[in-house]
Amino acid sequence: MKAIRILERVLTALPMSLLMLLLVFCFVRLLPGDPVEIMMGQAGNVSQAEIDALRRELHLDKPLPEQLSIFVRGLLRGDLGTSYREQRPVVDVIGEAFPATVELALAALLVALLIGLPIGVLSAVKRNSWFDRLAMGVSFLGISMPAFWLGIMAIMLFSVHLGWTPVQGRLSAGLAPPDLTGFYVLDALLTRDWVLLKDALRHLILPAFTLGAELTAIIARVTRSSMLEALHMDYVTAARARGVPEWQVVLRHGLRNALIPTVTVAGLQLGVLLGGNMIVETVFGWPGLGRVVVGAIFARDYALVQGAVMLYALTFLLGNLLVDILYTYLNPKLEL
Amino acid sequence: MAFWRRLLANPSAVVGLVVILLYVLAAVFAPQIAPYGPREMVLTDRLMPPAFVEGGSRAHLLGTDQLGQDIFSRILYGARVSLLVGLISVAISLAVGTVLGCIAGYWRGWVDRILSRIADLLMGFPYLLFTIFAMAIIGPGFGNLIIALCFKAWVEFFRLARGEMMAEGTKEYVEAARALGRGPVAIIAGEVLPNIIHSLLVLGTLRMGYMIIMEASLSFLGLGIPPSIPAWGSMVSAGRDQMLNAWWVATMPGLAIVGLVLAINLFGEGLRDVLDPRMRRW
Repeated sequence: MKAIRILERVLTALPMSLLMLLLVFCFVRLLPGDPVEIMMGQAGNVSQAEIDALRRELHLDKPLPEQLSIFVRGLLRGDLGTSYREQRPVVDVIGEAFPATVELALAALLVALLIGLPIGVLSAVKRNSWFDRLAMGVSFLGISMPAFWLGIMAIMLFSVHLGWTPVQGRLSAGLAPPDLTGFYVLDALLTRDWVLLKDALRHLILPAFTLGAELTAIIARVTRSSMLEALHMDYVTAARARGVPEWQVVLRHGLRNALIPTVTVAGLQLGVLLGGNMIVETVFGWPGLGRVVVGAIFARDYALVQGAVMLYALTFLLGNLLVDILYTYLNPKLEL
Repeated sequence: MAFWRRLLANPSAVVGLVVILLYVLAAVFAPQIAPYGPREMVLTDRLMPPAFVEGGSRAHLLGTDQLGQDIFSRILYGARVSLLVGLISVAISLAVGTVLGCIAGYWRGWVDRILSRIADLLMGFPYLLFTIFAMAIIGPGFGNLIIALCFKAWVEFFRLARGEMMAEGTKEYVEAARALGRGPVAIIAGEVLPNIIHSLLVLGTLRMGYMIIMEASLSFLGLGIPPSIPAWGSMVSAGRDQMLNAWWVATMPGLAIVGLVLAINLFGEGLRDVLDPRMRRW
């Protein structure tokens, strides 16, 4: 039964992604300026013949419907075209940048869950204590702080002043990651390269905390309020009356039910972590998709923008889908 | 009157409101308060530290940037951009979202289906990416920035208004109004809207801080307000290059953002407690 519901949900997501694809295709072509001229402008002196040749090569001389059909046919073959700016297939550019973005987003999510969840639970259990007040005050600050500023403050304190972490990038110069998954932390673990692991983690920690700060605050607040709600339910009172130890009441009866809103928020925010990280990637010089896509928009690199934005939208869609599916497992009463 | 009494009895709302008013005063009277013009450069005073730090001078309360511009004065002028962008973009999104949401929630049917699909589609793109894209299409500038921000922000108000409209639409007072022969516009605007406007206003207040952060983020990336107008985001961006030798250039405008957004969020939470108590139980 569950499998059928999930399949149904996946099938309704399909037309949505097709519509998104069309929208991205049209949007990219709304960007002002002739891409060929912008590209050629960087090269300097070029003849009209060269301009025409490039226009043909990029299929920009053809009418829009035909461009769309070329794009879709390529997509079905797993070919997203060639990035002019990078002079190589879009799939390669994205394949290189996407793991960096995902690694950072997952690290930020981990930070947020590891810190936000216990704080939320503890705040609820010790409601109105000094801990609760302090935690909620700090979390309020967390939602009100722009990530780019927090990142710069973190760099100034931990990298410049204290010298604990590197200022920029994913790895120190001179270190080369093995050509495995593209997730440097995972690659280092797989090859048992502890030097690489330490260096990758040192680079990852500040961006992860910066990107995860807002979500940490959100998770702490959501967990606190849903915990409070759960702890006031009759079944919790009943469990206490039966003499169930308090920690079991909190964890098994309280937290399990309080997790539903937390998971929802975390899942929805994963899309934001993946798609809103241009800022953090820019501040920390993180070579991810966010930086690639901003650069590509400015350079009018149609193929690259198309591919990257689509990937973003699909990840976002997938994130929402995952939340819905997780829902059913946490709360069997809920329908998809 | 009862509303004001309850609002003024709420400490977080009062603190938030006072701080917001201070920012508004700073923005309105910037030319009178600021010791320097927003683009006035004193080249002999470049990268002066704030007055409370060793080496600082009373002449530049919060120090100067790499062009010798007074940071305190620029923060005062920058408040204009942040407050205006926050206020106008929320007002437009709220109006558009509410009108469309009421229409979709009242008539349902194909209007609702189309509007809801558009809303779903817009929700499918990350907000920042969407806004960067929109700014790249329509170009930088104050008006364009607001258009880009509103392009997606109305969706949240739409969803809230639609849901509330649907819930209210089946209630007896609406049935009664229909039976009395009142038209749809009169029912929506005269009967239902006064009952649902509270939660929309609370959402609007809470979204305003977010809009201000979005504007600052776009200006930080160089995509928002043109550099000729002092904005907090671009000031932080300029300070980023001075991270190693002049911490105050990036720090001060950022503190201004945090202060304002914090105050707006505090006020929003207080407003919610007063206007919409069922949204918060604990």
